Amino acid sequence: MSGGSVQSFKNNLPLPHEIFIDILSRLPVKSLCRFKCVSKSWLALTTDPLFVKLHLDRTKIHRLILASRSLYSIDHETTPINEEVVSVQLDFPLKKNTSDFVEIISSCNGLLCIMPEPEVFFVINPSTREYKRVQDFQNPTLSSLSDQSVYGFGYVQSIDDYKFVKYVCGSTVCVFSLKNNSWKYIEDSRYRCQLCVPGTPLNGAIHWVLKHQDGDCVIAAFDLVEERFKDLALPDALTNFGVLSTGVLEGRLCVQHHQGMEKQFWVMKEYGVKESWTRVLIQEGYRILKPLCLWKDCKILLAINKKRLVLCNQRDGALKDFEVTGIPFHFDADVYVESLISPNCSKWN
Amino acid sequence: MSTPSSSVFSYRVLKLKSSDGEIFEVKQTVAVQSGVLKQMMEDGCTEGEIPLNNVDSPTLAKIIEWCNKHHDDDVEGRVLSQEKEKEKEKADMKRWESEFIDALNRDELYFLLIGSNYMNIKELLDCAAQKVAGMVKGKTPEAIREMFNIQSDFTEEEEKAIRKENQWAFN
Repeated sequence: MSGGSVQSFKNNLPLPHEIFIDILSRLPVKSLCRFKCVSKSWLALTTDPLFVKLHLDRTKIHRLILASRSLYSIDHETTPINEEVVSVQLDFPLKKNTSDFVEIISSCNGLLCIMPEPEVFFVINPSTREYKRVQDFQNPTLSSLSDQSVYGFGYVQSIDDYKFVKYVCGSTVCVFSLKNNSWKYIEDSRYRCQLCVPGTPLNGAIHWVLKHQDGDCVIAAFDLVEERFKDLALPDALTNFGVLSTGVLEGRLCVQHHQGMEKQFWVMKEYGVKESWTRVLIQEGYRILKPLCLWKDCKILLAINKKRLVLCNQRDGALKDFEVTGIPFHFDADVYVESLISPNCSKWN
Repeated sequence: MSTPSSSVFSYRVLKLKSSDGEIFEVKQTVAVQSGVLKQMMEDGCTEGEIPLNNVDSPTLAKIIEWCNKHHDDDVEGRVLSQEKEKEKEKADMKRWESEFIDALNRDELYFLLIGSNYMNIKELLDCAAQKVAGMVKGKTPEAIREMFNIQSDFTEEEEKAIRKENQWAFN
């Protein structure tokens, strides 16, 4: 931890450094940003890697993020029960000149990867308002193949790095390391695109449902350390492949499926164990389903058809609207945690 | 000399001596919430008075009040079959904790932080640290300097620049 300075608490009584750090690690990011101007050691603390990690581990504040032509943050957890939940518009790079829909690639440790314009990617921290632009592809051919590409963004603890991945299906995996600030290209022609939706980061890998040459769908997990794909099995019941996509719910891999009127939502209770796929009942129809988080430890908060936020009762699958004031008509949704993690890795050491 | 294992069971009550010399008797089953006392029990060195040089008697009384409340004598004998009952008990405890912490003035809270840290009572330290975080989070930088007795070591220009960069956090 930075500095060994003794902070006093009252009447010049010294407060041991470890207690002082403990207290500060419990503060919201906004408070810590405001306190940067208290003194040099307080400023240094907000970028101290050990403190940033401690703060992340302690943080229990999760927020929803919605993206349409703008980004909206929703403090759905700490809004008092009798008050209306409201969305707040966020600033983000290219906000003023974009007329496109902002796409959320993924959220990880408080960092969001967004695409405000086609093929332009930023990693932003909505809590500290810092951002970094992902370098453009050095290979123009690969960058033009966006119609058959899938994207993802994830973190690997063992190498303490964030990686942005674009897989040009049937051709090349393009991996951008935030730490090295550079691209790497890995040839892999095994998979075909099934649905152009962002991948799900979990356990140091990014997951997409992709098609093998023979037409069979699998969950392709791209390991961010080894930088290669590994297949995970889908539930046996999903044989008549329709439209499939992955998601994550409280650290568990999910898969959503729909084909005509048929729809299924599965959760993999134990990562990598095919037998642990468990079906979750949902009463209403949907075309697009995105699991977000558990609400009050029991109901599942879902985004449906990019239009509704709903709470799903796990017992009977009944849905109830989750009312939020001021949300856009059509949106991408995700969940992020408040953190001090900087997208600019020069600040990590 | 008794072996560690026998001593755990042979002394049912610990004698804790506060920094100002007052003796408090505490059941072992209660004292075990303190990491430091637990270690001493396991090492079999809890005979006689245990001096706690960093904890004065009003603070030690508070700490023992907390530990007594969080200690459950009949945890094995009682059947809490009802989920609802468990939930209610948890909620009641939360309420008791916040009333306990809220009733302290700033000096008492300070000594409780020091004492629970010294005796390694994690739950109490968590609760007290969370309370102070709650007191701190809405403050201005000036109020923080006053509270923690900090002198700014920025130049006027430096401070202005940092404020400007983080203006959003002041609204």
